[in-house]
Amino acid sequence: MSLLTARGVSKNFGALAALSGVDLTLNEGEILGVIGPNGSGKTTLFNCMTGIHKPSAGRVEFEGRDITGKPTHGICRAGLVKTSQIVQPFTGMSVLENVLVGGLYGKGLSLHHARDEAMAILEKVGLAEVAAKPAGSITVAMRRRLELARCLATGPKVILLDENMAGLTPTEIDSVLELLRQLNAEGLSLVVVEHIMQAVMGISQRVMVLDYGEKIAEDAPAAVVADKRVIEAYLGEEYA
Amino acid sequence: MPVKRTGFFIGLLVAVLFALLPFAGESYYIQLLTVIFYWIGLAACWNLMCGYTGYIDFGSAAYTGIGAYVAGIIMVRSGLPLLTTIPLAGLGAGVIALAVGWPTLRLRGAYFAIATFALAEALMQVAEEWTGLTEGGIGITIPQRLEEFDYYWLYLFLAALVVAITWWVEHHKHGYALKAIHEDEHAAAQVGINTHTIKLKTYVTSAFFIGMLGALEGSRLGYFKPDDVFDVHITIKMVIMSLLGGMGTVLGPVIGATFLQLIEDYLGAQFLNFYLVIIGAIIVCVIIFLPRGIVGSTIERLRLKFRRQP
Repeated sequence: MSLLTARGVSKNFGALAALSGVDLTLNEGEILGVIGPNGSGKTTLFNCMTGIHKPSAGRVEFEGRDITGKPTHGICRAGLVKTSQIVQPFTGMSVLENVLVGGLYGKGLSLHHARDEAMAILEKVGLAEVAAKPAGSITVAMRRRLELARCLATGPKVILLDENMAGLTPTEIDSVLELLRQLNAEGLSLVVVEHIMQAVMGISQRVMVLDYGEKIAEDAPAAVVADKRVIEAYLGEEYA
Repeated sequence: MPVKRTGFFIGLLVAVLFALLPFAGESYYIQLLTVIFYWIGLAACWNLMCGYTGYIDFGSAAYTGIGAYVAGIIMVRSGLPLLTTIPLAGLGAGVIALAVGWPTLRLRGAYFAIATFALAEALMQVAEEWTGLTEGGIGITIPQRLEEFDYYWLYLFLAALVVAITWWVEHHKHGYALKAIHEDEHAAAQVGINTHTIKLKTYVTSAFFIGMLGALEGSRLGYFKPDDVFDVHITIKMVIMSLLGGMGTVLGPVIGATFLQLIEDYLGAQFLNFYLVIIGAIIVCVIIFLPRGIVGSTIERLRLKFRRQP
């Protein structure tokens, strides 16, 4: 059953059409990869789905309900969250408090329950040891995990991951992929935007490709990399 | 948990001790403390909203003014007892804050500061021009006055109440939301915080208490004009007191207001024409050497000290 659908979503910034009529379907329990060259509209698509931008046209549905242009906090409470490309932890708070906030507001837990849950989530993502540290003092790899932990605390059904593995070493990437697979096995659906091909291809059941704000391909990972238009978009016409 | 409670009860005890002080007799210190409590109340209101969320309100004097005029006009027109008009003044300020906050709290940074500053100035002009209601520049004479000690107790009570609310916010859910908004409002919305509603609630609460304090001060003055109660210096003092003590801390405005009011009182008596220069220098020094304010920087240092120890 489709959990999240975008139909004909467009977004214009002045004269620039960042997205033109993009469709996206995410089925329950699925991992969908989204790739595309820089500036192809991947982040804009995520922002349109989570209410950060209001789409210029089109419709976004989550669990069959229209969420187009709804406020971000409401979409989060309904169970659809995203991690940001630029990591933005609350640096003045501790790592634990960052996750705590997600439970308090995303899930509406009491302070007492949210604390227990936040600790459990930190265990799961491997940040329990730095729980008491200020979020501004941990490494980039840890911050990316924290971003994911904070999303998890809101009790999501779908997480949109916007280049959550950027800047990580291959070993770190492998351990994040492992974690994502585990979360997926527990029933979480994911949409993964990533530049690192090996990461997206390895984890996604389906991949869609954006170029200049349009969807140019959507298929199984192996079929997508063989697609003529995709090769053209990435490497130029002569290689296609 | 117990450590937090201890802090609360120590605060309560201090407030009760101060409440008993007038029984020792009338003195110069009671008057000084009355003024200090008034400023603690105002600075604590400002800190509750602006210190915690980072939205800098440069027009808080709008609410002292509204409070003073609402209470004053009701007393003059209907003869209601002073103490009944105080909560009405708070409500008046709260309603205006709701109407103003709804659109302006969507603005960020300097835009919010400028919008609120303009609001206070505009309201002062309204009070100047609407002579039928406010007597304009002639000023308004308040027909009722409380006893000196009553002001002392009421200011102490209101200041303690606002500080207690700040304490509550700091240790409950609400405080985390305010801090998250301060850090990064987009990220706060993305973890499910309804940022606009929370800012609005806090802003209205803060204005409600500023309105009540303004109304009391209006009656204590006995007579005032628009530029007395809508004075931008009231706002500036609230900002400086919070900044000196430490924005976004429970005790910051208490320490900041006490400190500034004491040196103003002392230096004002010693160096009649020169004291503002000295106060300016002290403020600059505190901001350079204690950038998070007296309380904020102390907390930070203590934290570092305890972390270094094995």
